[in-house]
Amino acid sequence: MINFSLIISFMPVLLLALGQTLAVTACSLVVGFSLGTLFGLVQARGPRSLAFAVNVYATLFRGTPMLVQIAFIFFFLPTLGIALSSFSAAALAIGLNSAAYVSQIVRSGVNGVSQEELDAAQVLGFSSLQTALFLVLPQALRNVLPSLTNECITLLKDSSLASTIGVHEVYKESRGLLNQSYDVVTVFFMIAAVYLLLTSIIAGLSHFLEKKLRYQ
Amino acid sequence: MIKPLIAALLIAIGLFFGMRTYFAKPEAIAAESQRKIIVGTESNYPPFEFIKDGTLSGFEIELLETIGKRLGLSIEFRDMAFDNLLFAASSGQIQLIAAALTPTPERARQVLFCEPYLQASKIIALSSAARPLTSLAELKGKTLLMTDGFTSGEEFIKGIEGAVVKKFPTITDGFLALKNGQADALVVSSTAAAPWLAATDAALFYSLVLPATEASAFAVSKLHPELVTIIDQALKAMKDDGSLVELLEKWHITKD
Repeated sequence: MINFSLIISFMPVLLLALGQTLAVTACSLVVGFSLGTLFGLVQARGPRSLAFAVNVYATLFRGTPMLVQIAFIFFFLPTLGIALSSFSAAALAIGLNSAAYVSQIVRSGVNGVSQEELDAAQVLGFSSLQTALFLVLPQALRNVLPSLTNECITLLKDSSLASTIGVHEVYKESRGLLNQSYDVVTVFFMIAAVYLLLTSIIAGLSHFLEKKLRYQ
Repeated sequence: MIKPLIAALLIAIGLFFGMRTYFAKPEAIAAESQRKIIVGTESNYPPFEFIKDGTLSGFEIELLETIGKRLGLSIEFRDMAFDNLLFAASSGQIQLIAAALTPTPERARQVLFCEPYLQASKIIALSSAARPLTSLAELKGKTLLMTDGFTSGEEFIKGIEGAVVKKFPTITDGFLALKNGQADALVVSSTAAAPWLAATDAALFYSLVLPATEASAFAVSKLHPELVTIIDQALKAMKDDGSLVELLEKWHITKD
């Protein structure tokens, strides 16, 4: 049923494609998690006007399909004189989309820190930066770690959408193999197995982190 | 809840009008280096363009590389989804489309077409040999498969009473759906069907030649109209010295 020799002969190409998939995921992860954390903090604790701006951002990026956002960034930004390669357009679009979700995850985590602890920090003379860094974020991140893992896994799978603007990642290259071999079962088994392996690694890492961060 | 939605809508409308004013004046785009042509393609259409062992190959790819070599231009390919090609050309991301495009009046509003390198490719209805469709009359009321953007096929199907059309993004999807019995026939150009028939047992399929043909041509972004003459002249030179026919034969693309 599954032609393993086809998969083995495809390995050199698949490994290169895997590199692209991981690179898109890593870049969008950096964009999404850093922007998302910042936005989440702003929305939970920042001035009202900025919190409103983040709300608008989340509405836009959560409310439109990622496929549309990728095409939009790839085709629209050049008209403003910013020409992005397929790779950077995909990483940026997926990252910006992820930032919208991460901001809401972080916001809920920050709001979960009790008011008594914040009052205590104030009494002890913590500056607002110190409160954020040493009190709010460590607790918030621990509480939202499972949600962030979900987001990370979603991000990895969403990187396959980069194929629509010509990033040669796993999905794109595997479609190429399908056009040569017409072997649906093998090709889609291979694609599923690759993504399952990668997402399992992320889930495993997150499990390890959760254990590490647990209350002693 | 309402306020951010309104703000988001306003931003979207702003972007829309920004884009419209931009497209009204194409000269806004910085002129690309004259020595390079950026070509958009969709690599799921053998034998015209497909990925073989991780690299782009196929008839149109080789044809453009030959033209580039003759004119001293470097050719850079961008592989993307078929639906995105026309938009990429009008936004200036690519200068030329190599996707075996058939010139149509609708497409001509968005891009400029070069002279077709292939005038009249046969269109066939491929059905399973177990339940063959052997005459035009039998197509009535049947479910027919096609690929997105196969305009000549769409035009033909319009004249068939009660035919239901199912569309797929790539030709391979179409073949596989036919093989799995999801439709009665696949309407396809004989050229595009050839690699599939060569790869499977051709005796499993029945091919009915339809009274329709398809032309294929390169399309040029309206921001680079000078490319039309450049490509047309190069194609004419290749037609005259026989190298175009040679290349068509190499990729098993027959004229009739």
